[in-house]
Amino acid sequence: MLNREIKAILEKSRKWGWVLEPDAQKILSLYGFKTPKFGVAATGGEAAVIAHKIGYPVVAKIVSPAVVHKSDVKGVVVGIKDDETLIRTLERLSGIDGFAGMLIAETVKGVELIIGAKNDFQFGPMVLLGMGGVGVEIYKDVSLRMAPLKPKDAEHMIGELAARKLLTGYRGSTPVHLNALTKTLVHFSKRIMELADVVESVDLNPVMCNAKSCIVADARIMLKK
Amino acid sequence: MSRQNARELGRFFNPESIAVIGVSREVVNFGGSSFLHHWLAAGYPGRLYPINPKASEVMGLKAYPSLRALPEAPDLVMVAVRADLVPAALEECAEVGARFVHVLTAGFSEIGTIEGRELEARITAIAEARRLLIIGPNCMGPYSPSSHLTAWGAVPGLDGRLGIISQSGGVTQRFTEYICSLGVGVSKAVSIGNAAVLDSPDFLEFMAGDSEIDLIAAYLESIRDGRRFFDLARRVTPRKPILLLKGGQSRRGSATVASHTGRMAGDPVIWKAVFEQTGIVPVANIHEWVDACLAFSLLPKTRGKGVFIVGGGGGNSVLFSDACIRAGLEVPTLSRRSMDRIRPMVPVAGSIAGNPLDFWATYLMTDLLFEALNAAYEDEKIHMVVIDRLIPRIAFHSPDVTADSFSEIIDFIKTHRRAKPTVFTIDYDGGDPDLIRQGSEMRARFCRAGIPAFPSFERAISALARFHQYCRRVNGK
Repeated sequence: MLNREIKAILEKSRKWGWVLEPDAQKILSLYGFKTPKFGVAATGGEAAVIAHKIGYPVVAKIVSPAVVHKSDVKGVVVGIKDDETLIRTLERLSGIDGFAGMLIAETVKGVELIIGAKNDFQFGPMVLLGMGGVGVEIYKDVSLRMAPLKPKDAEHMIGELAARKLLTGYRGSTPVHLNALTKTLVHFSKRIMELADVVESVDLNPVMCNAKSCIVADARIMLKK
Repeated sequence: MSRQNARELGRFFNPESIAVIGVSREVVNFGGSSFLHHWLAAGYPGRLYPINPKASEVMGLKAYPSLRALPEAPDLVMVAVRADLVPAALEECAEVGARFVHVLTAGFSEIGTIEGRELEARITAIAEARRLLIIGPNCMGPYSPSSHLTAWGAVPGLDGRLGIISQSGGVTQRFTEYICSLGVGVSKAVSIGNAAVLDSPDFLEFMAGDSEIDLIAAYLESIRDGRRFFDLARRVTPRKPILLLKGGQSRRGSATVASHTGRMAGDPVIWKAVFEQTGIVPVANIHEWVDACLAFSLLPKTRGKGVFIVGGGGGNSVLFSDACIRAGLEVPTLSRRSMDRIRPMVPVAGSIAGNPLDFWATYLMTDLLFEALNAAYEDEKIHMVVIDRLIPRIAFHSPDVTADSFSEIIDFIKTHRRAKPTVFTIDYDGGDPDLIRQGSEMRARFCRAGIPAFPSFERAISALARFHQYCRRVNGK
């Protein structure tokens, strides 16, 4: 069952039809997913305080009910190393339509993956796993399953990716924590079942997987009309 | 329909009486009349009631002006009137207490008009309000050779252990003709068309619980409640394999689905996930469907993917090995014990002892073939056997190979049939009518005796590969 806090966030997001990123991150951490440390600032001073607390380098992202696809409006800046760049970024982002603040997040490293969910008209909730970055757009390297997943389903999904070697270790690169990835997929698929009545689709993009864990670095939750 | 009542759908396939609404008085046109004609010809033993307000007799049967005038509520009503008259016919069914209805009529959601969709929605609404069980519209309905319900499909057909759920009467027609001619019989088939009321999950649930059915073959284009189908299939496949031919896997095909059954085909990537998770066996065309049917109905379970190949000749042995590997199977080296048995009988020149066993004399001398098979059946690395059986050619340089050794070979394999899956490939599909005739006769003879025989090595191997994958999954490996 949905907990009260999650319900409240979904309720307030209905007017936009989707869940703003800080709220989406909140939902995910309430559900027990690993998320990066983050804070939302409206002014340069606030931004600097948050960045110092998190520690540079940080990622800055636009928060706006009018912007579903942040990168389309150049609303994501990675690798910010100092106050000056941070404040300049905030000044630029504040000019974007519907600006409601700037999200400052910890930089996380790992292999970029996409974990998504959508409601199919015939089969209901299903989960997608894909290589992030160019992987998903050019190679369409994705695997799909009906939710909820059993651990074995999740393992098969990972095994189906053409680029699975990037996950299992290739030419001396450290393999990612496959068990953490499997658990993340299974956990995600179960939450999707609970949310099926209110949520149209979810994109965790990117999910950063490394030798220790899988961290959801960004999330888009679209609500049903 | 209420899901707990899947069992009662059996009535569709063995009705004791059938009324047909929409029968012409004189000409036998496609529709109510042609169905009546076929049921009569098939010797349907139940009571047939043609409904026609203007006729007193149709095809020698007493005709009735309406369902209300019948002496009983018929077990099955077939509706074949114009689309706009269908709702009234359904109301009449409900009134007399006839709950099982097959609507043959087309002209509903599949024609793509608002009127068509609305008319179909009325069918669904009437079924719900009056608790009618309806197959259709726009379909051929139930088929069952053992009940003489053979107004379509293979005629007279062959009773067997196969259940068929199909969104196409035409595809099922070809499929049943093909498999019945090879000795694989059908218990029940249903063509469900637009599936406005009863959909594939309803019949899947019914066939899953039907003790007369061991294997389910389905041709589907769309499913309204895919999730129910998914959950059911997952439970069914470990006990009864489901061989699914999915139509509308391309953009063009999907567009055609809309005008065929008025529905949406769905994303092929999603269907792939459905196959993976449920254990449904996908087939891509009618040949793969038939071949899988032969393998799944006739073969004992296989415990591995090692194939022993017999016959063929040098080049063919090479090609056959390649085909096995491509299909994900293996061609293992025989054990030393097997080699010790086989080597003495194979001449050093012109033949190759091993796997593949390229040894022409296995065509001629059954004792050599049986010795090779016995070795393979006892060899732990071998799990399946494919025998290339040539159609005798004029160009043969050997003594008479036309000697009829079929019965002997069939007897041998049947007595060893629990051993390891053993199939034949007998290929010819060129233009020489004599070779065509001989090839198809040879294959039919083996198949009807319960031994799968395929028209090419590739088809044999792809059926075995599918069968192996299914067995491996069921064994939990």
